[in-house]
Amino acid sequence: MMDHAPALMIVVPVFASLVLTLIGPLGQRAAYGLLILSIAGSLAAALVTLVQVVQTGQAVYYRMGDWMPPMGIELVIDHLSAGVLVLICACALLTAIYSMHTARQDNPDRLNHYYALFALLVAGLLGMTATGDVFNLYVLLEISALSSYGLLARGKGKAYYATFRYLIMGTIGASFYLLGVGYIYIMTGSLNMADLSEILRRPELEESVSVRIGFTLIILGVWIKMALFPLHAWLPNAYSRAGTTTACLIAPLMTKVSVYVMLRIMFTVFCVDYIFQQIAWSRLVIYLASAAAVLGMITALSQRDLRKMLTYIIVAEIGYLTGGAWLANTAGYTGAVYHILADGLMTLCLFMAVGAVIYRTGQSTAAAMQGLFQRMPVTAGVLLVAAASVVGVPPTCGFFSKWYLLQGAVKAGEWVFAAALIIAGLVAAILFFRLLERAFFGRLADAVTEKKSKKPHGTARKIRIQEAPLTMLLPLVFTGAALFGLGIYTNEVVQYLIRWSVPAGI
Amino acid sequence: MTWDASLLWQFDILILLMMVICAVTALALEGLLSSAIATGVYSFLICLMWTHMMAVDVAFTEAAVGAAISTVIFLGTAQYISRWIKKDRPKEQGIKQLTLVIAMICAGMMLAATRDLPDWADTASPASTHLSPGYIEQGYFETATPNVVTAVLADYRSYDTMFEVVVVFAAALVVMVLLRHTSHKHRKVLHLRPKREGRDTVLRGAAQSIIPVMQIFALYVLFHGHYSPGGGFQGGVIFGASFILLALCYNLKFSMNRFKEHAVLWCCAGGVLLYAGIGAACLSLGMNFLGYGALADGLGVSVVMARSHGILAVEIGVGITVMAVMVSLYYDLASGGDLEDGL
Repeated sequence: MMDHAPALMIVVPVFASLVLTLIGPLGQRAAYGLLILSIAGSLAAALVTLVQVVQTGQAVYYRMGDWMPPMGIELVIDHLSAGVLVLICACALLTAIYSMHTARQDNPDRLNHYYALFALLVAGLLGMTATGDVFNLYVLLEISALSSYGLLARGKGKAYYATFRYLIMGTIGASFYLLGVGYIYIMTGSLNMADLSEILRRPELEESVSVRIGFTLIILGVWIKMALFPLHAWLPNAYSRAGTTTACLIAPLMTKVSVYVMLRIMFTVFCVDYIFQQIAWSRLVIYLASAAAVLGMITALSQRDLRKMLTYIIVAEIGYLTGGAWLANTAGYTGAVYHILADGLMTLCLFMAVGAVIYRTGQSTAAAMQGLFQRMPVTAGVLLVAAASVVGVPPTCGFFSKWYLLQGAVKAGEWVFAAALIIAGLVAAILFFRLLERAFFGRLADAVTEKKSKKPHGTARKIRIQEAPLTMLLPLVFTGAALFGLGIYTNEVVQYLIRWSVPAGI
Repeated sequence: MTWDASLLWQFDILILLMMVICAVTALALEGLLSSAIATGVYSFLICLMWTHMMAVDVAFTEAAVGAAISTVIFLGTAQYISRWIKKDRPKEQGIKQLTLVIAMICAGMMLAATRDLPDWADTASPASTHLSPGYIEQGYFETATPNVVTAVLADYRSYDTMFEVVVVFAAALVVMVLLRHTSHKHRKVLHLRPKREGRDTVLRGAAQSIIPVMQIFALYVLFHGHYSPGGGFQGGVIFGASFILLALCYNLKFSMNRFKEHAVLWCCAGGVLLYAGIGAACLSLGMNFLGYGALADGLGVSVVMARSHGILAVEIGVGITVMAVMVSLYYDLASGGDLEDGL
């Protein structure tokens, strides 16, 4: 069974999704249990694979249908993808546990179909990460995209319109990716990543205009999917109007997996020399990334809605990640990969905490934060940790990724990006300081007016603690702890995982 | 077979021109119904193009999905939204012009890329020298399936195909989740719903004589996929189309009484379950996921024949899901999600 872990990891959620579609009559508890069980199974498989990769120091290969690689499709799990796979499974499992109350609230009917889409999305993301075939990646990209459209459109208010825009943009992105793969297939005749990277080293293909345009199209498509700065317009509305569970699942994972795809295409299919010598626009990307980081954070500062604020933070973080990848040095690359893990957890933590606040208060504006430390001390504490991580306060993981990125920027002499990192960090500090000040010192009277009428004995200062339910609190606290954990074990993560995946030539 | 592509280059140019005209017409027309028809014609022209490229399997799928079902689904949906596109406001006009510029840049980029692409039907191009010879030379001996396309689709790249079926399944699931049982704001949308009694004698007579033939043909396409163009996708679409035709010629109720909502749902998931189940069976019998060779002992045949049988079995799974998804999509879209009445 151990040998089959890479395939089982992806197939188990697919089976779960199919069964979930049919078990409507069994009730909501059965659906919840089955979802958790299947994702826990995936997590176990991902962990087994991670341990195997770290112990042997080699990638794990799995041949689908027992066909030899360029003919058939293979899964390749190396140090880079093993980490991302564990991140996806862990985030999905935490969200699944967290979803007990919120998913029911957002989906009074057809909860099992909602969960079926949830499982499909997880399967799609895992498949995208594990595959070693550029066309297979496209098919799984479609699965994750389709299920995310369904999940996001279940949100409230104008979620339909926002999702429709996302659908159009996402489809354009996917088409660009497919077109690019088409050009590369015409020029090479192969779809397997390892095979492609060998063929693309040939001098006549390095000179080829078609390959260059193929590369450009793929990267453009992936940028649309990951919402890099000028192409990000679809993201804030689509994510902020989604249901709580949907936002917790999609916000941390979709964009991070797209960043992972960008790294794969850049460094596995193509190589560093090719990108920075043959592609004329490669030096400009760092400015795009800097703009994304600064403008994303500043726009976040100007938002009143809590979740919209978080979505703009995602836009800024995508700037960090892209910048790190295009710095083309070891520190930058390490920072980018480490930040995929760190930012996945950070975003999950922020969205879970805000989701808990919305669940209890029913509001999603900054006013909901009023007196949070008294009303929901645990949630507020975790939110503080997540905020510290986004700003980059030392023991949390956010600090270490920034540290690596900054080191990379200085080494590469990209002062614009270094300045952007610092400015964005400062703006984030202002943003969270303002928010937490309100949560700590905010006028309690506003929050307790209702309670006072019920409890005449209490003074205005005495507020009943109204923490979120345990199923929401446990994943939240765990994620908060993970932010510290990842930060403390930074050295190990870099040494055993990221250092191995640094591409040759940078 | 000898095939000199250069003989018919005028034909290609003609089709290409007509495709451009259709695409522009579909965008320029103000009526949604006529736009839908124009996209249908566009699909049909691509279909001719692919036939000319000898990609008959692709052409077949395009004819069934692009030209037929998509058009019907567009038509079924267009009745619920206004039939006419609103006139643009000045702001939107500006955005449209910007879009045009971006589209032009993309087109320019793609045209630039054609400069060093290999020639049309070039036998020395990488696509026909790298992997294809392997598939063509060994395909029959490894899978006992004369149609190479089927062998590649359902065996060499079977894992892709499984997820393509999952994509189809996901489409039905998403539409179901979004349209069915969303009570809010529902009534407002449905005042355009056409009432159909299904009394038209000519249509009913035509349906009675066409539908059985269609269904038999669909099964033939499905099961003959080993030997000729066809397979699960095309067969499934044709079978699904027969139920849609039934709904069009009688009414939605009539079709739904024969193929109930519940059965459709079970078929949607069941086909994928069959496909993935075969993959899992191979895994539990000691080979990798979807390694049909593992079924050899159980079936009492050689490994090569086991692959052939495996291909057939997964094609049946594909057919069931595709058929049910087409019907499910039509039920949901034509009735606006409440499955009561519709086109």
